[in-house]
Amino acid sequence: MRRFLWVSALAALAGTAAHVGLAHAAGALEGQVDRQALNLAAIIMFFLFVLGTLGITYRAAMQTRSAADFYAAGGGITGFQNGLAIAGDYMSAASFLGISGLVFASGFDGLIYSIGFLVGWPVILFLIAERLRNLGKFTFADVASFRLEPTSIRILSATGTLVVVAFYLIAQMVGAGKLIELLFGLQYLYAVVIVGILMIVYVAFGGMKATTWVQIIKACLLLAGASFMAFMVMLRYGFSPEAMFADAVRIHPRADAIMAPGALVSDPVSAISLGLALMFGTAGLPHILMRFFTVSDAQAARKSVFYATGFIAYFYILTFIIGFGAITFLMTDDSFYHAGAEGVINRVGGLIGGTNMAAIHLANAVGGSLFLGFISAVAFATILAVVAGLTLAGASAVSHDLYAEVIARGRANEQKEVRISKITAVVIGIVAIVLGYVFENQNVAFMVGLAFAVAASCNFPVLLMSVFWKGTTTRGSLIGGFLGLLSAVVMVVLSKAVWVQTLGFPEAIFPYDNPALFSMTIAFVGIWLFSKADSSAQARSEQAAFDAQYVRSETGIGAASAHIH
Amino acid sequence: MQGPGKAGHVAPDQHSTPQWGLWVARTPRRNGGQNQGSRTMAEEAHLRVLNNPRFQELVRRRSGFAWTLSVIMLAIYFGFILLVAFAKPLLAMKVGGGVTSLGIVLGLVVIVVAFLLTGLYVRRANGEFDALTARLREEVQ
Repeated sequence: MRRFLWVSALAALAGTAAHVGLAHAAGALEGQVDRQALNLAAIIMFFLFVLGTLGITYRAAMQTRSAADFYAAGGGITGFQNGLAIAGDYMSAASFLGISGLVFASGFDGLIYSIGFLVGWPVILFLIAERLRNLGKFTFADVASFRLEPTSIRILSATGTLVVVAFYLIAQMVGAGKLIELLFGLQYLYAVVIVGILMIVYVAFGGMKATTWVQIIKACLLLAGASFMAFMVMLRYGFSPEAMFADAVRIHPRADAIMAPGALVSDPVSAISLGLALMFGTAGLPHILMRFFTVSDAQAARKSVFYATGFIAYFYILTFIIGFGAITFLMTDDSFYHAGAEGVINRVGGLIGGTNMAAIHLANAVGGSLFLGFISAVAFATILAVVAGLTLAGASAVSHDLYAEVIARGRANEQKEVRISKITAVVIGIVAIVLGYVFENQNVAFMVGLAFAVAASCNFPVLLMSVFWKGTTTRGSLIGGFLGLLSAVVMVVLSKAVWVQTLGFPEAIFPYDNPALFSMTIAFVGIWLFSKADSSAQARSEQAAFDAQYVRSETGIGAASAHIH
Repeated sequence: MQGPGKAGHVAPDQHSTPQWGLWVARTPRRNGGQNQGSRTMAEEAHLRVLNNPRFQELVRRRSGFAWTLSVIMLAIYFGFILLVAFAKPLLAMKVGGGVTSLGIVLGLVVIVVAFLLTGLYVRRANGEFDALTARLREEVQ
């Protein structure tokens, strides 16, 4: 175990070190225009993060024995810690850089995304968290298959999980490669390989315990860094938001338009569809749902959502300030821009590295190159933590749902199940590296949206209906769930983001940006209709088993034995 | 949301021979007499809980509270989204004589309210509802 950790740490180090030398030697001659000069401070701080988290992984590996340790950190995470870890899972580099970049480019519109990402949390708390905790063991499939036929339900939920994980992971890997290329002056492939190796090590050796602590450390670093930036921005305006807004309106090329809704939400159907995907997608993300099993009881599960919602809300308020800060600090300084033809500077799109780099440049503007290094390291750490969480969710779906239930028919022993999970984590890591490499020059922005749409249209309806509606049967869930999954994917492929922007067809077949309004309806109606139409003996016994499930989901009575870790 | 929300209030499934439809947001009421014949121990155990008035009280209070808060959250959020879609000039309106718009104020309010609602629920659930659950446990076990 120890040897393995060292080998992987060395591999990661060697990869970077080799390139550090290369970049120094090659200097300004190589690479794209946008690649940053090698940032030594960033690399040192990132190494400290990696060393610290590998230390934690080593300790976690020593303590991880049972399946409960591996999947759920032995249930030993407190509500507060889990709240931080959930927030960590959720505050991806995409939401930090993407949302502050969106605010930088168009002001108010950035808020629409932040709010959508946030409001799923209260609903998860009110309707799902506790019941999940009372009914499940390690994955949300445990809950859906409580009274429904386990084999088919686990095939369905593992498929839903893996599809969500795959899309999310590709988006993160490509984002990671590009970002690290930009921030560290490292080559794309090196970046992707380092991310892939580290996530394999965290998950395969440290399981949920290591993944959770990586997440907690990263959440603290990110919140601290973002707080400092927002503080420096507000300091300039004497802590008056009005003064900051007034200055931004004066400076921004779109002037007063940045204070009102703009082009982001063009038609009501897209607006509602996006809202549904953001809100209910969260409640179907497998790596998030897994987090509710890491705490000791329902009370801690509730508390963790409360803390997570607080941290996430605070974080989105920070990104809003950071976006406006970027307008006022960067748009007045030519050194952050590429000059266009005849020296004309586009104050939005001309930002070096694109609008997604707004927060990074702001870090430089308010804290100098050392703080820039810190924020860059945090952004890297953020990606690592998120991909580790995704990998663990994917590995659990394969080992706990597919292997233990479908292939071994419930006769697998714990050790073997955990071993399968670790092997899967390695496979997922390698596949992620390959996909990250293949998709380097593809437009992957739609993939996170697709992951949310699938989560909202397959995982969430199956989970909700199995817990709340007595009439739900296996056949109904199976048909409805797969219809939701399929329709979400098909509609995204036929929409503008893929059909026109990626595949190059002239016109989109599906006219809206987000399928959730339609695919969620298809899933819910499908589950309802095919459950109603199901008059088999199996359906009757599943419906009769609702009461036992109901008692346990509401009170946790009978659940204790399943949770002795 | 409409789907499951509605399903929660409408009633019973027709094709299953027994029994008491949906429990969500309703007072569960055992209309006795079903499930005749042999019952297993486990069945006895959960029937004991189902018939316990404290359980019915717990579920009625908690479901009512949770669904009310959910509906409030959904209404606020989709209200906001609909304003964005249909009432852009309203959101662009200035408040307080400066450049700050109504949209920004409302957006921040939605964020803060979302957090407060979770706090409200956790407070009541970890106090009142958990106390009820604990007493119920004592009674049935």
